[in-house]
Order: sequence, then structure tokens, then C-alpha cells
Amino acid sequence: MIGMTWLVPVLPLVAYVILLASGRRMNESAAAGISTAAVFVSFLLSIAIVANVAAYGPAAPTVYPWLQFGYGMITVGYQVTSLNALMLLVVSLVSTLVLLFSRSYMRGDDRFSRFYQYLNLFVFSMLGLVVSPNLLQFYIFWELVGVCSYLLVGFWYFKPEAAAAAKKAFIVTRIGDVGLFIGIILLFLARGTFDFTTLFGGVSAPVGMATHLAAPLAYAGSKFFSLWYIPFAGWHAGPFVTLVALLVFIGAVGKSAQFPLHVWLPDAMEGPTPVSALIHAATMVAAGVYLVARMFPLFEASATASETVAVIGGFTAILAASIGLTQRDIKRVIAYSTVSQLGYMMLAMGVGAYVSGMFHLVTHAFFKALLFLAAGSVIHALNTQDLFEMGGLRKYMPITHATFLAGALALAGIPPFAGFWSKDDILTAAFSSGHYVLYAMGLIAAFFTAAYIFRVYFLTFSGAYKGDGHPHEGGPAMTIPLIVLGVLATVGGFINTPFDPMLGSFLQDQGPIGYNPPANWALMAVSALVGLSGIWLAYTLYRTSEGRAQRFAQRTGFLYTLSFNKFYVDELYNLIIVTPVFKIAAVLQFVDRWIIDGLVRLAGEIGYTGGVGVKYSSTGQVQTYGLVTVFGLAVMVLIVIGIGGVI
Amino acid sequence: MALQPFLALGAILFGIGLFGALTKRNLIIVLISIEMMLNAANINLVAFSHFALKPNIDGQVYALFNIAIAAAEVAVGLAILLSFFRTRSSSDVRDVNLMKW
Repeated sequence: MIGMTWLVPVLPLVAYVILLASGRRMNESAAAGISTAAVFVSFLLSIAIVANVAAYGPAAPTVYPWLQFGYGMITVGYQVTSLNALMLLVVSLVSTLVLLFSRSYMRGDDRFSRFYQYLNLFVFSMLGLVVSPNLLQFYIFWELVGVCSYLLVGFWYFKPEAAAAAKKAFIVTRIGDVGLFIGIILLFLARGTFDFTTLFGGVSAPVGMATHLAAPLAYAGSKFFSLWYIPFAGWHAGPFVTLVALLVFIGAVGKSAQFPLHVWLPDAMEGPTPVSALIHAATMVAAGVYLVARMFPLFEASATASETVAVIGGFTAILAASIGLTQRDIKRVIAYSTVSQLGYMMLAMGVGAYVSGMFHLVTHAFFKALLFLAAGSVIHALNTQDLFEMGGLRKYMPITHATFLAGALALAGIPPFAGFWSKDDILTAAFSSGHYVLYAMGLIAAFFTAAYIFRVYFLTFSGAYKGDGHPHEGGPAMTIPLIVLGVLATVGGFINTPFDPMLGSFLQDQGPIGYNPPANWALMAVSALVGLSGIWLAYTLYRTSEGRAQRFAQRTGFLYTLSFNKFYVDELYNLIIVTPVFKIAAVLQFVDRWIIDGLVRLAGEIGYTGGVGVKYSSTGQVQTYGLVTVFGLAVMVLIVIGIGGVI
Repeated sequence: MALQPFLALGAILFGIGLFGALTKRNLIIVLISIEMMLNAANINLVAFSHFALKPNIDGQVYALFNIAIAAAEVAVGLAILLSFFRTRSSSDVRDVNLMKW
């Protein structure tokens, strides 16, 4: 079964190629049918692979040589560990449902087939990323998902906001990717390999490579680089390990929209809603967390790096959650929620709670994809994204309402919904590993989370409908994914309860990884209470009486403005990065246009003006020409006779 | 007789022809001056043919060729001159200025 793993990413690729070849000729049903079927088969294969791994344990990577040079070799191939298998399952499941949902959501779009093409390419890239056995291949797919994200965010490129958001998403994540790339190169120089297994396996790298490359660097005299020789027998925590871990983490920060680079994700909501559900909630943004999980030994080796991961994660969680409280656009609230939840996962990874982080990744993929799809269903019915133009949809859209409620309860962390178990796991891990400040931040963020998601819930589904359309449910293509995800968001948490940590033992069948917090009933009760009080806050503000929310906003004045304007992070970046860059670019453009180009044009001008000036010397008077010729001849003869030639 | 007087004659004749070709304003005089330069060359050819280390007939044959070519050239030159005179009513060499910028 493991031998067929390559089929999992290849099937969507095949669908992509078919759609690409047939172009616009293919009708909507065929395009959607082929794509969904291909990804669904991938999903079935993934189930088989997970079952196989659960039964027989992970398999050794299957690799083929790609490039051979000097001491080293670069391979491509695929690998199935329990982590990969889990991700395969989650990605292919969510992809199948989103592809099905898009059938209805994108109906009638001019470029329907193109949309499915991009989605297939994305699913291929994401699955390829998951099964990559080495960092280089991983990086290639990492960039591919970035490209797909760009294409899909900018799918409605004729909207200027969408085009700008696509560019922003691509450029901001590129900043992180540069860090990741440097990290990968440094790792390769140090270890002489890209393979995950060899990198962390405790097996020493091919000696020739490491010393061969390290020698010139050490010779360069830098004390820093002379550390090459030391740490690789077994990952001692040295400045080098910390540096590499932080560089890798920068890549994760960009992709997973963590604090300094979180600004692209909310803007990316300009893309079609299924894209938000698939890429910007469940899969691609989780790739950063997956990267940290994949490189977990590296982070484990450096306490500094792990602390950084934890602090960035915790800070992002609370920052994004507090922004989510005040946004008016339904998708933006959920986007900030995604940023915040990714922060939780990073927090978990940072405090060493590997299983908790992955567990939250899985449950989050379910309930956040659900929330986005439900929001998509609402937007599809109402043609607006403004929360204050909705309301009362419980009557019109019962299925969307029920599933959204399940997702919201899961997100808010109310037992026994999925989010409760995973979020509580993370908070417990933070608390019992001694990170009390991070625990407090996580708890406050949990309170905000419950408040903002139920603010959305009450504004959307309760009260009276404020618009003048006729909202209704979409077809079965829309409701089936909602129901499936709704069920998963409700019961998905039971894969890793303290009573039966199935996921934990699945992920750790090769021995314990990271820190497994003991179950703590008191903390669980606290989490649940905090979630409930967040819901209560949303209820009192948005359900009990009109205008109470406005009064509350006025009373909190300054804080409300800060949150509503996203803490002015975008404006700050504009001020300290974008504007100076544009200024520098303007100066460079001036230099290029007037000095570099100027020199070139000057040369041309000299030739032209000189020619125009000299042309008047050809007067047409043959006798003048003859005279000048004879004079020249005489001069030459004189030179020859007088000084015996010019040389 | 020595070679030098012939060469001197050729040089003087060539100089007169060149001077005339470059300074005279009348096209006919210019043509005649060109003929003089050609004939200066002929004198040189014949002289060298006679006074060479191994005298032979080659130079004189060349001179005959030259005379034939000169005749042809005069025919063409006069034809151009006539045509020019008909269109511009002038035989002044300064009026032949169509080939300028």
C-alpha cells in the first residue's frame, strides 16, 4: 500500500493536466466531476495508507536519484511516516469536500474550469509537500503552493483589491521563504544532505561533504562558522542550531501568517471562499506548522528557538483574536481567527507539545474549513460579506446554521466539540511546562475567540433578516460538505481525548516525541468556562438588545479603534517599509532613467548630431572633393617621405 | 636620351591637367584637363616601356588601350555634358551639385 503513495499527489496532477488540455471546451459538470473524483480517490488511498501505517509502522522513504555531484546526491521520492500519513488524510479529505463545494459556489463563473485547474494544481502541490522525503523537494512544493495561493487569491483579478491581495500574499510569504531557504542551505552545508531521515537520524553525514564544504568557510576565519565542526554528532544546542532553527521558523512564520508577517492572510480573503477554506484555513497555512513538526528535532535541540516559536505563537494568538472582535467582514473575522489558531499551534510546538500541535492542526482543519464553507454558503445566498447586513438566517438556511454552530462551538472550545480537546491540550501543555504567561495569553485569546465567533453567529443567524433578498440553501453540493465537516467538527476531538489518546500513540509509535502534558481536569474546566463566558459576552452584546454593542464600543473607545484598525500594523508597514522602499525605488528609477539610460542615449545623440553636422560638408562640388583628396594624398606622401611612415 | 625628361614631361602635363580639373569652371575644360592627365600617364607608360632594364612592347600596348578608353570616356563625358546643358542651360561645373545632402 505504501508503494502506491506516489499516486496520491499524482492523481490531482493528472486531473490538472486533463483540464489544462481541454481548456474551456469542458463543461462545468465534467470539470468538477473529474477533479473531485481524482481527489476523492486520493482520499481513499490516504485512508488505506493511514491504516497501513497504523498497522505496520512507517516505511523507509522511497527515493530516486536526481542529481549527483561530487560527494553528494540529491534525490526525489516519497516518504510515509505517521505525521505524513495524518497530513495526507487531512489534506485530501478537506480538498475533496472543498472541490465538491466549489461545484455549486462557482457555478456560472466564466473561468469555472480554470478554477478547478488551479485547485487541482494546489492539491497536487500540497500533497507533494506532505510526502516529500527531503528538504529540497519540500521547498519546491512549498513554493508551488505559494504560487497556487497567488493564482487563486487573484482569481478574480479584475477586482483591484484581489490583484493587490494576491501580490501581497505572495510577496509577504516570500520574505519568510528566503529565511527558510537560507536555513535549508546552511543545513545542507553542515550535514551534506537534504533527507529528513539522515538530517535527524543521528547517523553522521557523509563525512567528505560536510568537511569538504565546511573547510573553506571555517578558513574564512569567522568564529561563527568554525562551529561547523562541532555539533553534528548529535545536535548539541549551539548558536548554529539556533540560527538554523530560527531561519526555518521564519519560513513557517511567513506561510502560517504569524505575527510580523500575518498581514497577508486577512487580505487574501479577496479570493473565492472555497479557496479561503482550502488554502487559507485547512492546508497551506498549516504547512508552516507542519514544517516545524517535521523539523521538530531541530527545534528541540535549541531552547532559544523553541521559546521564540512559543512566544511568537502565543502573541499571534492573542493579537489576531483581539482584532477579530471588531471586524465587519464575515470572512475577515474568520481569517483573523485562522491566524490566531495557527498561533496556538505554534505555541504548542514551541512548548514542545508536538502531539497537541498536530492535534489542533487536524481539528482546526475541520472546523475552520467548515466555518469558511458555511460563510461561503451565506455569502452565496446573500451576496454580501458585511455582518451588519445579515441576520435571521436560521430560518432560511437551517443546514448552514446548524453546521456553522457546530464549527463555532468547536472553535470556541466548548466540550465535547473538536476544538475543545485540542485547544485544551495546548493550554495544558503551556501551563504544565511552566509557561504561565503564555498560558494566560492563550486563555485570554480563547475568551476572545469564543466572543468573536459567537458575535458572527448572532449577527448572522439570529435576530431579523436585514437585507431584501431571498436567502436559501445552496444545492446538495454545498450542503454535503457542510454536513460532513459539521460531523467531524463535532466528534473529531475524540481521536485524542485524555481517556484514549489514539492520535498520540499513532504519531509516537516510534517512541515519544516532545512533551506530552498530563491530563489536568482543573485546567479543562477553566478552558470550558472561559469559552462559555466568551459566548455570554457575545450574547449580551449582540443578542439581548440593539445598540448595546455600539455603547460598549464607545466606552472602550481607544481599544476599539485599535482593534478595528488591526493595530495599524498595515499602516506601520506602509510607513516603515513600503514607503521607504518606494522612495528608494524612485531614486533608483531616476538613476536608471537619467544616468544609465542617459549615458547610452548620449552616445547615440553624439553620433546623430555629429552626423547631422558633418553632412553639410558634402556640398556636391566635385572639384572640392578632388582638392581635398589631392591634399590628403600629398600629406600622406609627405609623411611617408619625411618620417618613413606612421608606424 | 635619358628617362628623366620624359618623366618630367609626364609630371608637368599631369600637374597642369590636375590643376585644370580642380580649378576650371567650364565643364569642357575640365574634360580636356582629364584627357591631359590620361595622356601624361601614357607618356610614362611609353617611356618606361622603352627605358626598362629589359625593354619590351607591353607599355606601348597599354598606352594604346588607354587611348581607346580615353576615347570612350570622352564620348560618355560629352554625352553627360550635353544632357546637363540641355536641362540646366549651363556648362558651369559649380552647377553640377545635385549629389549633395
